Amino acid sequence: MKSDITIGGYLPLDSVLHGLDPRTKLLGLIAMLASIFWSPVPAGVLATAVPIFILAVLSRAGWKIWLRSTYRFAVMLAAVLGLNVFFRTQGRPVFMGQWELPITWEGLEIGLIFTFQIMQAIVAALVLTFTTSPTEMSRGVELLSKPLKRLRVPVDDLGMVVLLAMRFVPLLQQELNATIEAQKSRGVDFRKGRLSTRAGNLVALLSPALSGALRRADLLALAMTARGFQPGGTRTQFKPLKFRRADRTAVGVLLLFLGCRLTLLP
Amino acid sequence: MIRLRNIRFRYNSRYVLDGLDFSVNPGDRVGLVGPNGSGKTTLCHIIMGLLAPDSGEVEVFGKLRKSEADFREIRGRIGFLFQDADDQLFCPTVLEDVAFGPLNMGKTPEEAKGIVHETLRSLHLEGLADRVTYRLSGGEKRLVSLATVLAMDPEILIFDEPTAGLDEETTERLISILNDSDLTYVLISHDRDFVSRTTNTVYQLGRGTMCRMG
Repeated sequence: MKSDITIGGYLPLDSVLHGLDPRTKLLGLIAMLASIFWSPVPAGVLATAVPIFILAVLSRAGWKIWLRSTYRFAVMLAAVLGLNVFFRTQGRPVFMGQWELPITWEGLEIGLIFTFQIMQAIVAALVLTFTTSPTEMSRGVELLSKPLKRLRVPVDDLGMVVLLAMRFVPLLQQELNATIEAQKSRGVDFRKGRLSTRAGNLVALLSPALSGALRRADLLALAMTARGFQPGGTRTQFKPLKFRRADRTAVGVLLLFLGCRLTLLP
Repeated sequence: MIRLRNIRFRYNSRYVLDGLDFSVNPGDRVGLVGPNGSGKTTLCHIIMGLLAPDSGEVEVFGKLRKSEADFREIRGRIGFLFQDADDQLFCPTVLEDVAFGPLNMGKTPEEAKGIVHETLRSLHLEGLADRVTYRLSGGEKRLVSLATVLAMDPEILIFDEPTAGLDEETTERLISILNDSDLTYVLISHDRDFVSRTTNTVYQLGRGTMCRMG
Protein backbone atom coordinates (compact mmCIF):
# COMPACT_ATOMS: atom_id res chain seq x y z
CA MET A 1 0.00 0.00 0.00
CA LYS A 2 2.77 2.38 0.96
CA SER A 3 4.64 1.65 -2.25
CA ASP A 4 2.31 3.69 -4.44
CA ILE A 5 1.66 6.73 -2.28
CA THR A 6 1.04 9.90 -4.17
CA ILE A 7 2.24 13.35 -3.15
CA GLY A 8 0.59 14.08 0.16
CA GLY A 9 -1.39 10.85 0.17
CA TYR A 10 -3.12 9.85 3.39
CA LEU A 11 -1.52 6.96 5.27
CA PRO A 12 -4.14 5.02 7.23
CA LEU A 13 -1.98 4.35 10.33
CA ASP A 14 -2.60 4.51 14.03
CA SER A 15 -0.70 7.39 15.60
CA VAL A 16 -1.31 10.19 18.08
CA LEU A 17 -1.54 12.63 15.18
CA HIS A 18 -4.03 10.46 13.30
CA GLY A 19 -6.31 10.64 16.33
CA LEU A 20 -6.36 14.45 16.51
CA ASP A 21 -9.23 16.54 15.22
CA PRO A 22 -8.43 17.87 11.70
CA ARG A 23 -9.12 21.42 12.91
CA THR A 24 -6.32 21.07 15.46
CA LYS A 25 -3.97 19.86 12.74
CA LEU A 26 -4.96 22.58 10.28
CA LEU A 27 -4.49 25.30 12.89
CA GLY A 28 -1.26 23.60 13.91
CA LEU A 29 0.02 23.76 10.35
CA ILE A 30 -0.82 27.46 10.11
CA ALA A 31 0.99 28.08 13.42
CA MET A 32 4.03 26.07 12.32
CA LEU A 33 4.18 27.95 9.00
CA ALA A 34 4.03 31.24 10.89
CA SER A 35 6.86 30.05 13.11
CA ILE A 36 8.93 28.86 10.14
CA PHE A 37 8.67 32.06 8.16
CA TRP A 38 8.44 34.53 11.09
CA SER A 39 12.03 35.69 10.71
CA PRO A 40 15.05 34.33 8.87
CA VAL A 41 17.11 34.11 12.07
CA PRO A 42 19.18 30.90 11.97
CA ALA A 43 18.48 30.12 15.65
CA GLY A 44 14.73 30.61 15.14
CA VAL A 45 14.65 28.46 12.02
CA LEU A 46 16.59 25.72 13.81
CA ALA A 47 14.30 25.97 16.84
CA THR A 48 11.27 25.29 14.60
CA ALA A 49 13.01 22.32 13.01
CA VAL A 50 12.92 20.44 16.34
CA PRO A 51 9.11 20.23 16.75
CA ILE A 52 8.70 19.56 13.04
CA PHE A 53 11.11 16.64 13.30
CA ILE A 54 9.17 15.35 16.33
CA LEU A 55 5.87 15.67 14.40
CA ALA A 56 7.37 13.76 11.46
CA VAL A 57 8.38 10.95 13.83
CA LEU A 58 4.98 11.00 15.56
CA SER A 59 3.24 10.56 12.19
CA ARG A 60 4.74 7.02 12.10
CA ALA A 61 5.12 7.28 8.33
CA GLY A 62 8.58 5.69 8.46
CA TRP A 63 11.83 7.01 7.04
CA LYS A 64 11.36 5.35 3.64
CA ILE A 65 8.11 7.22 3.01
CA TRP A 66 9.67 10.45 4.23
CA LEU A 67 12.68 9.98 2.00
CA ARG A 68 10.59 9.21 -1.07
CA SER A 69 8.14 12.05 -0.42
CA THR A 70 10.73 14.74 0.23
CA TYR A 71 12.97 13.55 -2.62
CA ARG A 72 10.25 14.65 -5.04
CA PHE A 73 10.90 18.24 -3.99
CA ALA A 74 14.69 18.01 -4.43
CA VAL A 75 14.74 19.83 -7.77
CA MET A 76 12.54 22.63 -6.45
CA LEU A 77 14.70 23.03 -3.34
CA ALA A 78 17.87 23.03 -5.45
CA ALA A 79 16.34 25.74 -7.66
CA VAL A 80 15.42 27.85 -4.62
CA LEU A 81 18.94 27.50 -3.25
CA GLY A 82 20.55 28.23 -6.63
CA LEU A 83 18.44 31.31 -7.31
CA ASN A 84 19.17 32.77 -3.90
CA VAL A 85 22.87 32.00 -3.99
CA PHE A 86 23.61 33.12 -7.55
CA PHE A 87 21.30 36.12 -7.83
CA ARG A 88 22.08 37.74 -4.49
CA THR A 89 25.29 39.53 -5.37
CA GLN A 90 25.55 42.06 -2.52
CA GLY A 91 27.84 41.15 0.36
CA ARG A 92 31.22 39.61 1.01
CA PRO A 93 32.40 37.48 -1.92
CA VAL A 94 33.33 33.85 -1.37
CA PHE A 95 36.89 32.85 -2.23
CA MET A 96 38.15 29.42 -3.13
CA GLY A 97 41.87 29.75 -2.65
CA GLN A 98 42.72 32.82 -4.71
CA TRP A 99 39.64 32.48 -6.95
CA GLU A 100 36.70 34.75 -6.27
CA LEU A 101 33.47 32.83 -6.81
CA PRO A 102 30.36 34.58 -8.23
CA ILE A 103 28.55 34.18 -4.92
CA THR A 104 28.49 35.96 -1.59
CA TRP A 105 28.48 34.71 2.00
CA GLU A 106 25.23 36.62 2.57
CA GLY A 107 23.60 34.99 -0.49
CA LEU A 108 24.77 31.58 0.67
CA GLU A 109 23.39 32.14 4.17
CA ILE A 110 20.02 33.45 2.98
CA GLY A 111 19.78 30.73 0.35
CA LEU A 112 20.44 27.97 2.87
CA ILE A 113 18.04 29.44 5.44
CA PHE A 114 15.25 29.94 2.89
CA THR A 115 15.71 26.42 1.45
CA PHE A 116 15.64 24.98 4.97
CA GLN A 117 12.48 26.98 5.73
CA ILE A 118 10.73 25.64 2.62
CA MET A 119 11.85 22.11 3.47
CA GLN A 120 10.33 22.48 6.92
CA ALA A 121 7.09 23.82 5.44
CA ILE A 122 6.92 20.81 3.10
CA VAL A 123 7.46 18.38 5.98
CA ALA A 124 4.85 20.16 8.12
CA ALA A 125 2.32 20.01 5.28
CA LEU A 126 3.09 16.33 4.65
CA VAL A 127 2.58 15.57 8.35
CA LEU A 128 -0.91 16.98 7.95
CA THR A 129 -1.79 15.10 4.76
CA PHE A 130 -0.20 11.83 5.93
CA THR A 131 -2.25 11.83 9.12
CA THR A 132 -5.55 13.35 7.94
CA SER A 133 -7.92 11.56 5.60
CA PRO A 134 -9.35 13.68 2.76
CA THR A 135 -12.80 13.47 4.31
CA GLU A 136 -11.54 14.73 7.68
CA MET A 137 -9.57 17.43 5.91
CA SER A 138 -12.56 18.66 3.94
CA ARG A 139 -14.74 18.67 7.05
CA GLY A 140 -12.03 20.55 8.98
CA VAL A 141 -11.72 23.19 6.25
CA GLU A 142 -15.49 23.51 6.13
CA LEU A 143 -15.84 24.04 9.87
CA LEU A 144 -12.86 26.37 10.20
CA SER A 145 -14.14 28.57 7.40
CA LYS A 146 -17.64 28.79 8.90
CA PRO A 147 -17.19 32.45 10.02
CA LEU A 148 -16.86 33.33 6.32
CA LYS A 149 -20.47 32.31 5.84
CA ARG A 150 -21.46 35.76 7.04
CA LEU A 151 -19.63 37.16 4.02
CA ARG A 152 -21.71 34.83 1.84
CA VAL A 153 -18.75 32.57 1.06
CA PRO A 154 -20.16 29.11 0.21
CA VAL A 155 -18.29 27.40 3.06
CA ASP A 156 -20.52 24.29 2.96
CA ASP A 157 -19.22 23.55 -0.52
CA LEU A 158 -15.63 24.49 0.34
CA GLY A 159 -15.07 21.18 2.10
CA MET A 160 -16.40 19.25 -0.89
CA VAL A 161 -14.11 21.23 -3.19
CA VAL A 162 -11.10 20.27 -1.03
CA LEU A 163 -12.22 16.63 -1.03
CA LEU A 164 -12.59 16.51 -4.79
CA ALA A 165 -9.31 18.35 -5.36
CA MET A 166 -7.54 15.67 -3.31
CA ARG A 167 -9.37 12.92 -5.19
CA PHE A 168 -8.21 14.46 -8.45
CA VAL A 169 -4.50 14.23 -7.62
CA PRO A 170 -4.14 10.47 -8.29
CA LEU A 171 -6.56 10.69 -11.22
CA LEU A 172 -4.53 13.44 -12.85
CA GLN A 173 -1.36 11.48 -12.23
CA GLN A 174 -2.94 8.49 -13.99
CA GLU A 175 -4.11 10.72 -16.83
CA LEU A 176 -0.64 12.24 -17.21
CA ASN A 177 1.08 8.82 -17.07
CA ALA A 178 -1.29 7.48 -19.74
CA THR A 179 -0.53 10.48 -21.98
CA ILE A 180 3.22 10.09 -21.42
CA GLU A 181 3.04 6.37 -22.28
CA ALA A 182 0.94 7.13 -25.39
CA GLN A 183 3.49 9.69 -26.56
CA LYS A 184 6.43 7.40 -25.76
CA SER A 185 4.84 4.64 -27.83
CA ARG A 186 4.79 7.10 -30.73
CA GLY A 187 8.51 7.73 -30.40
CA VAL A 188 8.65 10.82 -28.19
CA ASP A 189 11.63 10.67 -25.84
CA PHE A 190 11.23 13.02 -22.91
CA ARG A 191 14.84 12.57 -21.76
CA LYS A 192 16.65 13.23 -25.01
CA GLY A 193 17.07 16.25 -27.25
CA ARG A 194 17.81 19.89 -26.65
CA LEU A 195 16.25 21.73 -23.77
CA SER A 196 13.82 23.52 -26.10
CA THR A 197 12.73 20.20 -27.70
CA ARG A 198 12.19 18.62 -24.29
CA ALA A 199 10.24 21.65 -23.13
CA GLY A 200 8.13 21.39 -26.31
CA ASN A 201 7.42 17.71 -25.59
CA LEU A 202 6.28 18.58 -22.09
CA VAL A 203 3.98 21.33 -23.37
CA ALA A 204 2.44 18.76 -25.72
CA LEU A 205 1.47 16.78 -22.63
CA LEU A 206 -0.44 19.63 -21.07
CA SER A 207 -3.21 19.88 -23.62
CA PRO A 208 -4.46 16.25 -23.43
CA ALA A 209 -3.93 16.17 -19.65
CA LEU A 210 -5.94 19.37 -19.21
CA SER A 211 -8.75 18.28 -21.51
CA GLY A 212 -8.85 14.93 -19.70
CA ALA A 213 -9.08 16.70 -16.35
CA LEU A 214 -11.91 18.94 -17.55
CA ARG A 215 -13.80 15.97 -19.00
CA ARG A 216 -13.46 14.15 -15.69
CA ALA A 217 -14.58 17.21 -13.73
CA ASP A 218 -17.67 17.45 -15.92
CA LEU A 219 -18.56 13.79 -15.43
CA LEU A 220 -17.82 13.98 -11.72
CA ALA A 221 -20.32 16.81 -11.37
CA LEU A 222 -22.91 14.67 -13.20
CA ALA A 223 -22.13 11.66 -10.99
CA MET A 224 -22.54 13.74 -7.84
CA THR A 225 -25.80 15.23 -9.07
CA ALA A 226 -27.08 11.77 -9.99
CA ARG A 227 -26.47 10.69 -6.40
CA GLY A 228 -28.51 13.47 -4.89
CA PHE A 229 -25.79 16.03 -4.13
CA GLN A 230 -26.96 19.64 -4.16
CA PRO A 231 -24.50 22.51 -3.77
CA GLY A 232 -25.39 24.31 -0.56
CA GLY A 233 -27.90 21.63 0.38
CA THR A 234 -27.98 19.97 3.79
CA ARG A 235 -26.07 16.74 4.10
CA THR A 236 -25.65 14.39 7.03
CA GLN A 237 -22.05 13.95 8.23
CA PHE A 238 -20.66 10.45 8.39
CA LYS A 239 -18.24 11.10 11.25
CA PRO A 240 -19.11 14.26 13.21
CA LEU A 241 -15.91 15.87 14.47
CA LYS A 242 -15.18 16.07 18.20
CA PHE A 243 -12.65 18.19 20.02
CA ARG A 244 -11.09 15.80 22.56
CA ARG A 245 -8.63 16.06 25.43
CA ALA A 246 -5.72 15.22 23.14
CA ASP A 247 -6.69 18.19 20.96
CA ARG A 248 -6.74 20.55 23.94
CA THR A 249 -3.29 19.29 25.00
CA ALA A 250 -1.97 19.66 21.44
CA VAL A 251 -3.29 23.22 21.19
CA GLY A 252 -1.74 24.05 24.58
CA VAL A 253 1.69 22.71 23.57
CA LEU A 254 1.44 24.51 20.26
CA LEU A 255 0.58 27.86 21.84
CA LEU A 256 3.40 27.44 24.35
CA PHE A 257 5.90 26.72 21.59
CA LEU A 258 4.64 29.57 19.44
CA GLY A 259 4.83 31.99 22.37
CA CYS A 260 8.42 30.98 23.16
CA ARG A 261 9.46 31.08 19.49
CA LEU A 262 8.05 34.52 18.80
CA THR A 263 9.22 36.15 22.03
CA LEU A 264 12.59 34.52 22.62
CA LEU A 265 13.71 34.35 18.97
CA PRO A 266 11.87 37.22 17.25
CA MET B 1 -42.33 4.44 -14.78
CA ILE B 2 -40.53 6.30 -17.59
CA ARG B 3 -42.22 7.72 -20.66
CA LEU B 4 -40.43 9.89 -23.19
CA ARG B 5 -42.42 11.46 -26.00
CA ASN B 6 -41.11 13.00 -29.19
CA ILE B 7 -37.69 13.76 -27.72
CA ARG B 8 -35.31 15.82 -29.83
CA PHE B 9 -31.74 16.56 -28.81
CA ARG B 10 -28.81 17.82 -30.82
CA TYR B 11 -25.10 18.35 -30.45
CA ASN B 12 -24.30 21.46 -32.48
CA SER B 13 -26.46 21.04 -35.58
CA ARG B 14 -26.69 17.23 -35.57
CA TYR B 15 -29.78 15.69 -34.00
CA VAL B 16 -28.78 12.52 -32.13
CA LEU B 17 -32.33 12.03 -30.92
CA ASP B 18 -34.98 13.11 -33.39
CA GLY B 19 -38.58 12.58 -32.33
CA LEU B 20 -37.83 9.58 -30.12
CA ASP B 21 -40.46 7.77 -28.01
CA PHE B 22 -39.43 5.41 -25.23
CA SER B 23 -41.04 3.86 -22.18
CA VAL B 24 -40.09 1.62 -19.29
CA ASN B 25 -42.65 -0.19 -17.13
CA PRO B 26 -42.22 -1.93 -13.76
CA GLY B 27 -40.26 -5.18 -14.14
CA ASP B 28 -38.84 -4.24 -17.55
CA ARG B 29 -35.22 -5.06 -18.29
CA VAL B 30 -34.44 -2.98 -21.31
CA GLY B 31 -31.29 -3.19 -23.39
CA LEU B 32 -30.20 -0.27 -25.57
CA VAL B 33 -27.78 -1.06 -28.36
CA GLY B 34 -26.48 0.99 -31.23
CA PRO B 35 -23.31 2.43 -32.72
CA ASN B 36 -21.14 5.00 -30.96
CA GLY B 37 -22.70 8.44 -31.08
CA SER B 38 -26.22 7.10 -31.64
CA GLY B 39 -27.47 8.86 -28.49
CA LYS B 40 -27.74 5.98 -26.00
CA THR B 41 -25.94 7.78 -23.19
CA THR B 42 -27.63 11.06 -24.09
CA LEU B 43 -31.04 9.38 -23.76
CA CYS B 44 -30.17 8.14 -20.27
CA HIS B 45 -28.85 11.56 -19.25
CA ILE B 46 -32.15 13.07 -20.38
CA ILE B 47 -34.09 10.59 -18.23
CA MET B 48 -31.96 11.62 -15.24
CA GLY B 49 -32.35 15.33 -16.01
CA LEU B 50 -28.60 15.69 -16.50
CA LEU B 51 -29.29 16.97 -20.02
CA ALA B 52 -32.36 18.89 -21.15
CA PRO B 53 -33.95 17.93 -24.50
CA ASP B 54 -34.53 20.59 -27.15
CA SER B 55 -38.16 19.51 -27.29
CA GLY B 56 -40.42 16.68 -26.16
CA GLU B 57 -41.83 15.43 -22.89
CA VAL B 58 -40.09 13.55 -20.09
CA GLU B 59 -42.49 11.79 -17.75
CA VAL B 60 -40.97 9.90 -14.84
CA PHE B 61 -42.95 8.19 -12.05
CA GLY B 62 -46.22 9.53 -13.44
CA LYS B 63 -45.23 13.18 -13.50
CA LEU B 64 -43.93 15.48 -16.20
CA ARG B 65 -40.39 16.57 -15.38
CA LYS B 66 -39.21 19.93 -16.62
CA SER B 67 -37.28 21.85 -13.99
CA GLU B 68 -34.18 20.92 -11.99
CA ALA B 69 -36.38 20.62 -8.90
CA ASP B 70 -38.56 18.05 -10.71
CA PHE B 71 -35.54 15.90 -11.49
CA ARG B 72 -33.97 16.33 -8.06
CA GLU B 73 -36.92 14.46 -6.66
CA ILE B 74 -36.35 11.43 -8.89
CA ARG B 75 -32.56 11.15 -8.58
CA GLY B 76 -32.81 9.16 -5.39
CA ARG B 77 -35.26 6.82 -7.11
CA ILE B 78 -33.25 6.20 -10.29
CA GLY B 79 -29.76 4.77 -9.94
CA PHE B 80 -27.28 5.71 -12.65
CA LEU B 81 -24.13 3.69 -13.25
CA PHE B 82 -21.58 5.64 -15.27
CA GLN B 83 -19.49 4.22 -18.09
CA ASP B 84 -16.18 4.86 -16.32
CA ALA B 85 -16.16 3.74 -12.69
CA ASP B 86 -13.53 6.40 -11.92
CA ASP B 87 -16.15 9.05 -12.66
CA GLN B 88 -18.53 7.44 -10.20
CA LEU B 89 -16.14 6.99 -7.29
CA PHE B 90 -14.88 10.22 -5.80
CA CYS B 91 -14.67 9.63 -2.05
CA PRO B 92 -11.46 8.42 -0.39
CA THR B 93 -12.75 5.05 0.78
CA VAL B 94 -15.35 2.56 -0.42
CA LEU B 95 -17.32 3.02 2.79
CA GLU B 96 -17.60 6.77 2.32
CA ASP B 97 -18.36 6.47 -1.37
CA VAL B 98 -21.22 4.06 -0.88
CA ALA B 99 -22.54 6.22 1.97
CA PHE B 100 -22.43 9.41 -0.13
CA GLY B 101 -25.90 8.95 -1.67
CA PRO B 102 -27.70 7.91 1.55
CA LEU B 103 -26.13 10.85 3.43
CA ASN B 104 -27.34 13.23 0.72
CA MET B 105 -30.80 11.80 1.26
CA GLY B 106 -30.67 12.74 4.93
CA LYS B 107 -29.92 9.34 6.48
CA THR B 108 -28.17 9.38 9.87
CA PRO B 109 -24.54 8.14 10.01
CA GLU B 110 -25.71 4.90 11.68
CA GLU B 111 -28.41 4.34 9.05
CA ALA B 112 -25.93 5.10 6.27
CA LYS B 113 -23.36 2.71 7.75
CA GLY B 114 -26.01 -0.02 7.97
CA ILE B 115 -27.03 0.55 4.34
CA VAL B 116 -23.37 0.44 3.23
CA HIS B 117 -22.66 -2.85 4.96
CA GLU B 118 -25.90 -4.43 3.75
CA THR B 119 -25.25 -3.32 0.15
CA LEU B 120 -21.65 -4.51 0.16
CA ARG B 121 -22.73 -7.82 1.69
CA SER B 122 -25.38 -8.34 -1.00
CA LEU B 123 -22.68 -7.91 -3.67
CA HIS B 124 -20.15 -10.02 -1.74
CA LEU B 125 -17.85 -7.04 -1.34
CA GLU B 126 -17.67 -7.00 2.48
CA GLY B 127 -13.88 -6.91 2.56
CA LEU B 128 -13.65 -3.73 0.51
CA ALA B 129 -15.32 -1.29 2.92
CA ASP B 130 -12.12 0.35 4.16
CA ARG B 131 -10.20 0.15 0.90
CA VAL B 132 -9.05 3.31 -0.89
CA THR B 133 -11.26 3.62 -3.98
CA TYR B 134 -8.67 4.60 -6.56
CA ARG B 135 -6.50 1.61 -5.64
CA LEU B 136 -9.23 -0.94 -6.45
CA SER B 137 -8.97 -3.11 -9.55
CA GLY B 138 -11.15 -2.29 -12.58
CA GLY B 139 -13.63 -5.05 -11.72
CA GLU B 140 -13.80 -4.06 -8.06
CA LYS B 141 -14.36 -0.43 -9.04
CA ARG B 142 -17.25 -1.44 -11.28
CA LEU B 143 -18.92 -3.50 -8.55
CA VAL B 144 -18.36 -0.79 -5.94
CA SER B 145 -19.92 1.70 -8.40
CA LEU B 146 -22.93 -0.58 -8.51
CA ALA B 147 -22.97 -0.63 -4.71
CA THR B 148 -22.97 3.19 -4.60
CA VAL B 149 -26.06 3.18 -6.79
CA LEU B 150 -27.85 0.30 -5.03
CA ALA B 151 -27.26 1.98 -1.66
CA MET B 152 -29.79 4.59 -2.69
CA ASP B 153 -32.42 1.84 -3.00
CA PRO B 154 -33.44 2.88 -6.51
CA GLU B 155 -36.67 1.87 -8.20
CA ILE B 156 -35.01 1.84 -11.61
CA LEU B 157 -31.37 1.41 -12.55
CA ILE B 158 -29.62 2.79 -15.60
CA PHE B 159 -26.35 1.15 -16.62
CA ASP B 160 -24.06 2.82 -19.12
CA GLU B 161 -21.72 0.19 -20.61
CA PRO B 162 -21.44 -1.84 -17.40
CA THR B 163 -19.08 -4.43 -18.91
CA ALA B 164 -16.62 -2.00 -20.50
CA GLY B 165 -13.12 -3.09 -19.47
CA LEU B 166 -14.33 -6.01 -17.34
CA ASP B 167 -12.80 -9.47 -17.44
CA GLU B 168 -15.00 -12.53 -18.03
CA GLU B 169 -15.19 -13.48 -14.37
CA THR B 170 -16.44 -10.07 -13.24
CA THR B 171 -18.83 -9.91 -16.20
CA GLU B 172 -20.30 -13.27 -15.15
CA ARG B 173 -20.57 -11.99 -11.60
CA LEU B 174 -22.42 -8.91 -12.80
CA ILE B 175 -24.77 -11.06 -14.91
CA SER B 176 -25.63 -13.24 -11.94
CA ILE B 177 -26.18 -10.16 -9.71
CA LEU B 178 -28.57 -8.69 -12.28
CA ASN B 179 -30.41 -11.96 -12.89
CA ASP B 180 -30.80 -12.60 -9.16
CA SER B 181 -32.25 -9.14 -8.55
CA ASP B 182 -35.83 -8.03 -9.09
CA LEU B 183 -34.78 -4.60 -10.33
CA THR B 184 -36.22 -2.69 -13.25
CA TYR B 185 -33.39 -1.42 -15.38
CA VAL B 186 -32.21 0.11 -18.63
CA LEU B 187 -28.88 -1.10 -19.86
CA ILE B 188 -26.61 0.36 -22.54
CA SER B 189 -24.07 -2.05 -23.96
CA HIS B 190 -22.14 -3.04 -27.06
CA ASP B 191 -21.82 -6.55 -25.64
CA ARG B 192 -24.68 -8.41 -27.39
CA ASP B 193 -24.16 -11.57 -25.32
CA PHE B 194 -24.37 -9.62 -22.08
CA VAL B 195 -27.49 -7.79 -23.27
CA SER B 196 -29.23 -10.99 -24.37
CA ARG B 197 -28.52 -12.66 -21.01
CA THR B 198 -29.66 -9.80 -18.81
CA THR B 199 -32.58 -8.10 -20.58
CA ASN B 200 -36.04 -9.02 -21.85
CA THR B 201 -36.47 -6.18 -24.36
CA VAL B 202 -33.80 -4.78 -26.67
CA TYR B 203 -33.97 -1.54 -28.63
CA GLN B 204 -31.60 -0.46 -31.38
CA LEU B 205 -30.80 3.25 -31.56
CA GLY B 206 -29.71 4.94 -34.75
CA ARG B 207 -30.39 8.00 -36.91
CA GLY B 208 -32.16 9.72 -34.03
CA THR B 209 -34.81 7.07 -33.43
CA MET B 210 -35.07 3.58 -32.00
CA CYS B 211 -36.63 0.29 -33.03
CA ARG B 212 -37.42 -2.80 -31.01
CA MET B 213 -35.26 -5.81 -31.77
CA GLY B 214 -36.59 -8.42 -29.39
